[in-house]
Amino acid sequence: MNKSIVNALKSVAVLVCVSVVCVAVLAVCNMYFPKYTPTLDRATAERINAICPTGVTDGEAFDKKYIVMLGSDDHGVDLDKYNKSNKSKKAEILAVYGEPKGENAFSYIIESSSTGRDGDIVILIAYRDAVIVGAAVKKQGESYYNKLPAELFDFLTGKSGDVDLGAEFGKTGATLSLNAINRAVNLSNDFAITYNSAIRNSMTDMASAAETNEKGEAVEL
Amino acid sequence: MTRSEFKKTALGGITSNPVFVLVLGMCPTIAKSDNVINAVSLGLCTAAVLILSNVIISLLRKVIPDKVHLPAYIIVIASLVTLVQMIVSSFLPTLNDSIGAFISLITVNCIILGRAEAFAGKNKVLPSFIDGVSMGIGFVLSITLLGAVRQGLTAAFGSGFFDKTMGGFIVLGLMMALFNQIFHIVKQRQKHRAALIERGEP
Repeated sequence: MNKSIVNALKSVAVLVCVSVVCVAVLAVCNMYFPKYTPTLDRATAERINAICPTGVTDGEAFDKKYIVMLGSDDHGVDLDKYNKSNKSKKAEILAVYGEPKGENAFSYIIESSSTGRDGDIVILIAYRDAVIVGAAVKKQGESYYNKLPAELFDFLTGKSGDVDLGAEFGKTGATLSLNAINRAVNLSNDFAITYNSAIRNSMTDMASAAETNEKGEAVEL
Repeated sequence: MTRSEFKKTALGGITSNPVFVLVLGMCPTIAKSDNVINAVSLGLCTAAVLILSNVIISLLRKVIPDKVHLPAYIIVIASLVTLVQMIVSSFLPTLNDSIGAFISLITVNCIILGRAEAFAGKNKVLPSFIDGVSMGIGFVLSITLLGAVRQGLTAAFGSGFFDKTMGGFIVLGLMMALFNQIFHIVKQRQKHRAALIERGEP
């Protein structure tokens, strides 16, 4: 075989080997390094209290557990299943927060995320009956975030269903960040409709169960 | 490695300071030296990548054919930067929010590729490690100093100028001039002392 071909093949082989080793190391690290997990800390409780006021101070809202992270057993909505079925939307629902006693079950806060220019943007969106009542960013590291209009989250108030932030705010200089927020909001709005109907169903079930109990007690008497 | 070679390599971070003498890696230096914490953090991330890339490239120097050494170096450097970014985003999320965007840019920081090309690709592992440590410390110190001066000036004169790019360039220029002037004086003194010793004068 020609010497130059051998040299070329050797070069390609070395590059492939170096790439494979690098990719393998990164893949292993990616598997074992901890990922972002939503937590209800004091800062998150403050943000939630600002977009969806509980009527008490930030400290009280956190300390006295006016806001809690809701699990899938609360209204029977499985977040993992929902995210898997909506993988193509390039956004994720991370958690749902609400009050613990079920008195204001139709008021809840959805934490969703989508990948922007420099990583994931995590936003908190407060809903009342599947309509947005407030929104705030929880975590972002976007280099052009300050180019986004200040009224961005105010604009979302009163909205439900699909929103088009690009059409509303035009060229901002932070297109990728705006698109990520748009994706996260739209997925969150879609999830809110599912979540609302789940709450309604669970309440109907609870009411019919209570009715059955009352009838049973009356028959016994 | 002889003693003089060690001394020359170990002092490389000062005599060939990447910021004040070689004027390399200006983009992150200006962008993230607006306060000390950002400056130290980015400096340490860059130093970590520099040391590791120097060691790995030095280990692979005989295996990598000359024709493809640049793409191979870039693959190694980019992988190390990704690794550092993964570590920062997993274990230091708050820091990731403030300097995360600039960690990716370490890949194209001229200091790293410059040292790989000029030193690690031609020398053994130990000298390359020492060069990485020396250059890394030099970069961390210079970017931290710049960050401290800019933060001090911002505190004294208010925000809007010294914490912005324009103010950063001016402060960097002045500090560069000062550093080179001090370095020139030190060199002159050393020369003078050497001449005196040569002539046998005390």
